[in-house]
Amino acid sequence: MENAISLVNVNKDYAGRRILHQFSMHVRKGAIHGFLGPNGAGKTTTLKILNQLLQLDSGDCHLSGVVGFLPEEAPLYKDMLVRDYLMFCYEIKTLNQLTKMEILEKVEDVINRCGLNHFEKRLIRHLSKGQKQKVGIAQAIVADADIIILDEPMVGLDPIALIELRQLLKSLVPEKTILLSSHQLHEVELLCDEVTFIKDGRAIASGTLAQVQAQFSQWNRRKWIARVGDFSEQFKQELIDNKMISSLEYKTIINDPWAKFELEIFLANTENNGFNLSRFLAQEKIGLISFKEEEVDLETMFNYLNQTKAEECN
Amino acid sequence: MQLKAIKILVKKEIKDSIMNPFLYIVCGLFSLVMGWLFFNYLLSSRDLSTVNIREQVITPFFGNLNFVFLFICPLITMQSFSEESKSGTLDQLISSKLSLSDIIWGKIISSMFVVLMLVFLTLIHLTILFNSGFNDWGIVFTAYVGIILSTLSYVFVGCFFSSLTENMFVASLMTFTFLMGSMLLVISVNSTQNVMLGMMIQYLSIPIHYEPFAKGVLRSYDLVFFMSFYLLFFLMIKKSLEARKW
Repeated sequence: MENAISLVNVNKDYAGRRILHQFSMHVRKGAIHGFLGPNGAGKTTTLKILNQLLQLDSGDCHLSGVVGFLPEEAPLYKDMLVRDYLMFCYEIKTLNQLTKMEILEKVEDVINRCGLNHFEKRLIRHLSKGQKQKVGIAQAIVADADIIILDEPMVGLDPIALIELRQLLKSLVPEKTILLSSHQLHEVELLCDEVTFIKDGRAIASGTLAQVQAQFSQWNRRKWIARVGDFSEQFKQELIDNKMISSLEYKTIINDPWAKFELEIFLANTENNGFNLSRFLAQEKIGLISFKEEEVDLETMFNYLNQTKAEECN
Repeated sequence: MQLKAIKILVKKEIKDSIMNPFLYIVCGLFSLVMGWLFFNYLLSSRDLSTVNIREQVITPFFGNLNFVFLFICPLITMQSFSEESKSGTLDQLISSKLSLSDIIWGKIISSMFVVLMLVFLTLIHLTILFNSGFNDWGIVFTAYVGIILSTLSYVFVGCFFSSLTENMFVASLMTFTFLMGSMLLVISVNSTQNVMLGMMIQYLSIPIHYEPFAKGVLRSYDLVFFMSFYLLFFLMIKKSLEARKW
């Protein structure tokens, strides 16, 4: 399958610190690709390199088409009308020898596509946050961009604006390719066909959600949920000492007549299929009520990655 | 460098300036100050002969005009790059099809448009002189050439400092300090015994190169200084913008 974006072994140093280490990422043409990682992982640096706002020190960067970029803070001239601003963006991004009417026609098409019709003649400073984000996306696609790069486009949006933005982004594929950097993991799960995790400047997982979940299991991250009659720090320590688990969180529950605690457990290794653990929890002092393996969601993976060094994942 | 690209940016910048009420406040204050100065110079001149007007009105009037621009130019140029950088629109311009030279010329030309608008306001004083029988238009011509060259150098300095910081007030303050320093260089010439050093310091001062124009003298020596000055600051602005990619 053809890639719209290919980054291979990219290195970038900034202010004496290495931001990207042999970073590689491939984005399939026509996909919505989630780009995830904790703050300071190197996401914005990568996006700036893709938009040619930063030079890479070494490695290869290949883009198959025109790039439109929406940074975290939409680059808007607040004293311009929405329509005039988009016309200006079109002009500086294409430098075409078109007449004003022809440019207006192109801009009107983007205005309709992004649903800006009812505020196209308003000053940008008078728009809501959600409307500004829509204008930001419109400026990214106004010059017939093939690849749209969005850095945290969902920050500060209310639920209605989020739904509208989601619909807008979905309507743009497969004609365009979208690379979406976001901390809104639920939105990424709803929108993206594939994701890349970045940590300490290294790509530690990449592919479709199913592929990344499979990769996550290989990092010994199988998650189990157990409900028990009793539990304490002493039992937790015993499990850790016996190397049966890598982490365990427990909380009290009140709506269950039998179980008093719910445990969220990550096993210590893949060979351990939960059998030993269930036997341990089934002892009389603890009293196992229920025990099941859970599918790992993006949030769990993200939390794990946030607490683990990138080298440990590779 | 593409003329179409510069035209697009200049058109947008000029439209922004015209829509900004700040411009009209500056215009009003500028007219008030220049009108008051002109009135005083006229009043203090003993008679309205051409020689008298030339020495007691035109030369000091244009001398002061240059001094007033030393305060106004930092205000005009302070947001040229810093505000764009702060709002993220500078990255948008840089990643567009505009080259860095297009962006720099666009900013310089649009800032000069505002300066020329203010210079245009001073024509009213010369119309008064014209109606009084004054006919030495040579000095008026050189003085206007001088003021345009001098303010263009101020605009280059302002745009350079604006490209260094996201805070427009810091940019304005740095520009003003630099221009004032350039003016005060003349004083330091007197404090040195070294003739060579004195000449070198004198050469670096902008007002020294402007003065002959206000007196009706047009020298290639001063033109070379201004052209070199523009080239130096143009390259420095370009380097400052390129440094964003490092």
